Amino acid sequence: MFSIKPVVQDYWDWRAAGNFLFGGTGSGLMIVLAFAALLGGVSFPLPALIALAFVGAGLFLVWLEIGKPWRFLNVFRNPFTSWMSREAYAAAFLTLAGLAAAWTGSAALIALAAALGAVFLFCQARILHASRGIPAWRDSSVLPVIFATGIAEGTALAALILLAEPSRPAWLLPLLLIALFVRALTFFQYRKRMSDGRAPVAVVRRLARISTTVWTLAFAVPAALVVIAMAVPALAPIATAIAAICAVFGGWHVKFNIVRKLAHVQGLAIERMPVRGTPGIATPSAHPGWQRD
Amino acid sequence: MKFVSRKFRTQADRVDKKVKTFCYQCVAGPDLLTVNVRNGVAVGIEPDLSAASVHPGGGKVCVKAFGIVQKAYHPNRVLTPMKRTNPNKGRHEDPGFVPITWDEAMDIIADKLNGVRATGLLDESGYPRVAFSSGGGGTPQSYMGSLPAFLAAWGPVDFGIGSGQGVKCTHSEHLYGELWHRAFTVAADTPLTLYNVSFGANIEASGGVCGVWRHANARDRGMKRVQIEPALSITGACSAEWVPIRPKTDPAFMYAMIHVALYEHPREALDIPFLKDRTGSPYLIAPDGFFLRDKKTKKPLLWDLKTKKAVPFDTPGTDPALEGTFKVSGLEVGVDGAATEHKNIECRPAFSHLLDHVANCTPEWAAKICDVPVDTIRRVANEFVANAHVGETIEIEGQVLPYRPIAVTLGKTVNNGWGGYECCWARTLLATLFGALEVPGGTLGTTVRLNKPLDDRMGSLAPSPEGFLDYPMNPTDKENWVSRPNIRNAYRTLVPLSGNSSWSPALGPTHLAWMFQEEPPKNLPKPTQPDVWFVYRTNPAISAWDAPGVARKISRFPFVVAFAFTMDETNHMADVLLPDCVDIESTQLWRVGGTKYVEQFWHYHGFALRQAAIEARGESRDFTDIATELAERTGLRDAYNNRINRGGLGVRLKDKGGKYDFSLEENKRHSKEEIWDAVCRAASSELTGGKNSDGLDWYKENGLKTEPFSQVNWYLYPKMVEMGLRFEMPYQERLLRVGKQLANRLHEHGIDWWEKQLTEYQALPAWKDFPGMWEEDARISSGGEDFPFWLLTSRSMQYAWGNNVALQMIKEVADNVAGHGGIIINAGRAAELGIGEGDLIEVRSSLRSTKGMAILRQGIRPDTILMIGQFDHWKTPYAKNLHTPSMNTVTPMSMRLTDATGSSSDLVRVQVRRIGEAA
Amino acid sequence: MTRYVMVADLRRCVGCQTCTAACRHTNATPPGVQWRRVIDVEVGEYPDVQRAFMPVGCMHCADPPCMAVCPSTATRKRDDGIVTIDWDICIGCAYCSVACPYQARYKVDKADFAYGADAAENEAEQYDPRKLGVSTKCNFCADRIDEGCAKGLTPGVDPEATPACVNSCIADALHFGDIEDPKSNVSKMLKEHKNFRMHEDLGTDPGFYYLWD
Repeated sequence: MFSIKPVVQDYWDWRAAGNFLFGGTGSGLMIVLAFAALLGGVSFPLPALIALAFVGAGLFLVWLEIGKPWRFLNVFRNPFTSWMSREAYAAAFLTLAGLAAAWTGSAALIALAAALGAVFLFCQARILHASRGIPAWRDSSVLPVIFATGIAEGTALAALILLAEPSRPAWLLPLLLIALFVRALTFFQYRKRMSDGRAPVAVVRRLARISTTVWTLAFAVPAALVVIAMAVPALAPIATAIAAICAVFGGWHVKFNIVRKLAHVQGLAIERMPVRGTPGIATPSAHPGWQRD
Repeated sequence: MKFVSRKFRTQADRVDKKVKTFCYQCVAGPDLLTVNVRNGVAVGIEPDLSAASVHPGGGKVCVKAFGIVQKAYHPNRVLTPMKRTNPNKGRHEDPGFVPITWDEAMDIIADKLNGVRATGLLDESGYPRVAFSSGGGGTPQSYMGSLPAFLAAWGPVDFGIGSGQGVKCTHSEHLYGELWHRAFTVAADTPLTLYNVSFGANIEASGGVCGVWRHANARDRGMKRVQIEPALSITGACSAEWVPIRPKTDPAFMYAMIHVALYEHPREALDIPFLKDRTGSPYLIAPDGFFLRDKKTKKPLLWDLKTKKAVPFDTPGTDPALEGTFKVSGLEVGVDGAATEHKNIECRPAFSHLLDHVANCTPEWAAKICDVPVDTIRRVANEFVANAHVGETIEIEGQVLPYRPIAVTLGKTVNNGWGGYECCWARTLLATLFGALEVPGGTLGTTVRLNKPLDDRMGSLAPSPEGFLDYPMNPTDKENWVSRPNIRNAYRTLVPLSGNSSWSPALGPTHLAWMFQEEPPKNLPKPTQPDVWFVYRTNPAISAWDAPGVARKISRFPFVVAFAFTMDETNHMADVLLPDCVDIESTQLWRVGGTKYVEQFWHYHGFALRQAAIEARGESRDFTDIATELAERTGLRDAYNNRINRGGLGVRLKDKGGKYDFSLEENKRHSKEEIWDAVCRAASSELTGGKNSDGLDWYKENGLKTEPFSQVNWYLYPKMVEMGLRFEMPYQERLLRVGKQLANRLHEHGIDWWEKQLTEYQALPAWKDFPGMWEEDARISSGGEDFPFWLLTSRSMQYAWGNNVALQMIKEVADNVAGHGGIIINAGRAAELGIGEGDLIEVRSSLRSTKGMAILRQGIRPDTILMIGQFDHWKTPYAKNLHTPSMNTVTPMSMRLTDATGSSSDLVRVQVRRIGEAA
Repeated sequence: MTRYVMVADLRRCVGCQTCTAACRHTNATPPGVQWRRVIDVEVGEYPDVQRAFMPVGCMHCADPPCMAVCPSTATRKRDDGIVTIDWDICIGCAYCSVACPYQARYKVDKADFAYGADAAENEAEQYDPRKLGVSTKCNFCADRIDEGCAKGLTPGVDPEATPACVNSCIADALHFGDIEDPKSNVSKMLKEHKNFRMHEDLGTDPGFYYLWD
């Protein structure tokens, strides 16, 4: 792949995107689960395994994408500067802690798993942020989006999994509502930052195009359903279930867009057109695909 | 295939040997290189930086040379001789080629050739039964080993069946350039020029390594180049200024520059001594337009301001008048020797006639024609004048010469077809007015191909009776005019300026050889097909104008022998394919240095060896072995060896002065090593005056042998002064006479289809509506349709002359340069037509249509579209899958658009329409 | 200290791609993998249009984002500023590719040849499976520099110690040398001519300078 104008990167395809989709959901679930267990006494072994399965599925997809899969252990070599190495460590410890928590039912271990889940989720956000070649990733506004949606997805998935659980904490639905709201805020803040000249024109256009869907799918519909679930107990199960699915898919929609559709490369720029033969003429710059063209 | 893992990372440490050789794939070469070889396999090309101090381009080679490796190992290379099994020929016929042995191939060809020898070398129309075509601006000669000796031994061969030259070369420049200053091609003295007005000369794409190198240096030191052309080329990009101009209106711009020089600046701005003493400006013009001559000596007269009388031009100590009207007597020698004696008539010098001629050619006049702002034209003209440095001198190797750092250079389509004469004349005149012709900093010729000797430009200088440079015009007088053409394009009959050197057949109206196949010319012998047609390094079925029409005509040729690299559109019609060695498999010594085409100005001259860096692949054979075998089988061994001895391979093997003799025994068959060893030894001896006779082995090791070549030899001026010669400017009395005589001869023979061409022979060429000629041709041919766009082409450094469209790497790197692979159209105009980036568009001329992908750019006139290179392949492997259009598909061959030199322009009026979405 | 940098004189460059081809040969990169290439840029609107050619590739940044993100430590920066990739360690995650703002990195997963699946003789001779599935990019012909230096040659001055693209440039537009040495060819050029670096605002401190006046 090579283009003077910013075009969508093709170094990371749907498999890499899958890691962000599932990894965020899984780690978010682990975090919420720990709170539910610690504060509400929810039984967590099975849900914890589900959370790990999500994280594992994401990592498996990445493993499918890397060029030298049998060298995957080399991923651990650079925790000093690489967020990918750190993510790998976080994932490894998260898996160990999660399995141990599920095996033993220990509250301390689930708390540890949640903490590692938070680290993992943070690493995922930082992986994107450290990618200086992709304007839509390198801005700090991407961090809250990835984190907030992970939490929102985790909360939604927890609400879904614990639907039949009598000990389901009452704060779960209000938390989901808040998480949805925070996620929407982070997304629209992100969009604003991108539109302020921090991203190529094509990214800004794409963001404008997906905003309605994001607003609807990732916020308005699930939020409304959560409100309905809280207000009308008879409809609670079905409304919660649909809200949760919407919230998860809404988050995935946002992340898939960020990783695959908004991931335009920086593009190349020429600061000054060269002077040929007659010195001293000031000449314009060119940065094809960016607003200051 | 089994691969071995290797521990290295770059090539530097993994090369067994580096073989010195050269690349002469394009006319701007040759340039020197090394082939990196490992385990007998060529793995890379590098410049030969050991030659950096000798070669005027730093010892480098351009991108094309890097394609040679892929060429050698191309999977679709023809690697055995083949014969056709399907007697039917045509684009849609499967030739059914089957592999045969060399022996069988040679048997088939020798049978044909011996049959021809038995029947007679000329056919019933008087045309040679054997024809040979090659392309690449003559560069194939540096690859065809000793074949020239075989062809010379053979006897008459038709070298004039065109590959596309005329429209694809700077044809007017070739002919008029040689006439006026021994300039087969014309260049600026780039290392010294300060101001270069370039009308579409795409030097950064077609000037080769030396052109790019010299112009980069010139830009660095502050040379200003103004690029005037309809589409912003690579060269336009690298210029100080781009001026978009309406196609084919360049003469008007130049005429306006002449007007500004003559009417808006004081006379002293011109180089008056140069005009008086080194040009025909003071020659007096008699009433019928011919020079007024001295009755006794028949020498042209000029008015001497000192003695106040008319005296022969070469009278010593005169002060010739440039302007005024003078009462004089003398003889006017007109057409076919008719002479009129004039007594006390009023005559004016040629310069006065020039003043009248351009009186109305103001920038305001030109601006409307060229669609260029009047201020731009006037500013460019004034800057040109301001940079002329009239009166200044410069010391070159101890010799004081005039210094005139201004030059006008011309591109291909400016410089051929109608308007080509006017452009060449105006360009040469612009240099002449300021004494900037053939002096340091000015406008220079490079080499000669029509004047002899071909390898000694300075040695070709000889005086005409009028004191100008003599010129080998084809005769137009009654006794000597060649009424029966010697070859099918009739260059000797129709084009006096094409001369009669070994290059002349290929510089005549070569497309006529194709046109006449279907439209027999009235009162010339019946057009015939050659019994045997050899084709080498050319693909006329792609490269000629109206390429599909040419393909159709080729399919009717009875016996075609093609030297084949891969299958292509022309050898699809062949009867026998012969696999010759590619560049890095074969051996040939070539003359380098001195002043060669384009921008090859050296401080050295000598010889370079192209040698086999790798074993010949498959059954491919070195050309010298092929030629020797042909000579053996046709019983021409002695004559072939004799031709080699007499210099048929570029060097005489025996010195006329007796200093050396490396002649081959004529009645013996010699190996290619023996032949080239003898040539190498003779070359070394020639170069060193007999002191050194290094042979083939020495050249294999060292690659190159040179001796210093004085820079003074870049300039004709010192020699002109020494010989007392004048440049034939501004007045073209000789052309006027030749044209009128040619008209008489043609009319006497009932030839009335060359009338329009006869109008070009004007003593002072006038502006004509050149764009209108193309518009009119399209209208007439289509029955009145409107074609709103100009379709142009532009050379690509990656492809031009390279015979390399089948190479993946070339395509890959060419794609980094905008415009390759599609059709460039102005973005604004495209938007009006609803055409988006990458959309499929159809381009239709009065002849036919082609299609390709739209490439939207700002750097092109809204009325112009551009197709880079020559494509539209349907047979050549790899290229046929590129879907890249070519203007050759839609450009008609047209007698109306053929000028007096027998060329036309790469230009056609077209319609454009969107036919599909971007993929 | 030494820091090797590339200097491209945009006034001289003609976009001919000779450097691109020379790099392809020297480094035996597969089709489409151009560690060095020259881009063709057009600015303005008809008739006020300018066009320029710009050699690009790895900028050998002083703060290479690719190195920081590399999880395997395959990407490293040498003491002389050259950013390298160890193909024996690289896992081919392409994280470096998204971190590089110059699109300088390539990853080819399957053997690919000029004319399809079968290698021509020259390709087979140069084929190196270690390059599959890993990240590759320009390394300033580091081994040439090392070998040249070992012979006492000066990179950027002596062709044997100079990157192939620089040696091949027919416009003498590409130059290479040590920017830390005030007397080096590149230091002098940068002093004498106005120049810029691409995407300097991204904090990469690139080692590729463009002369424009």
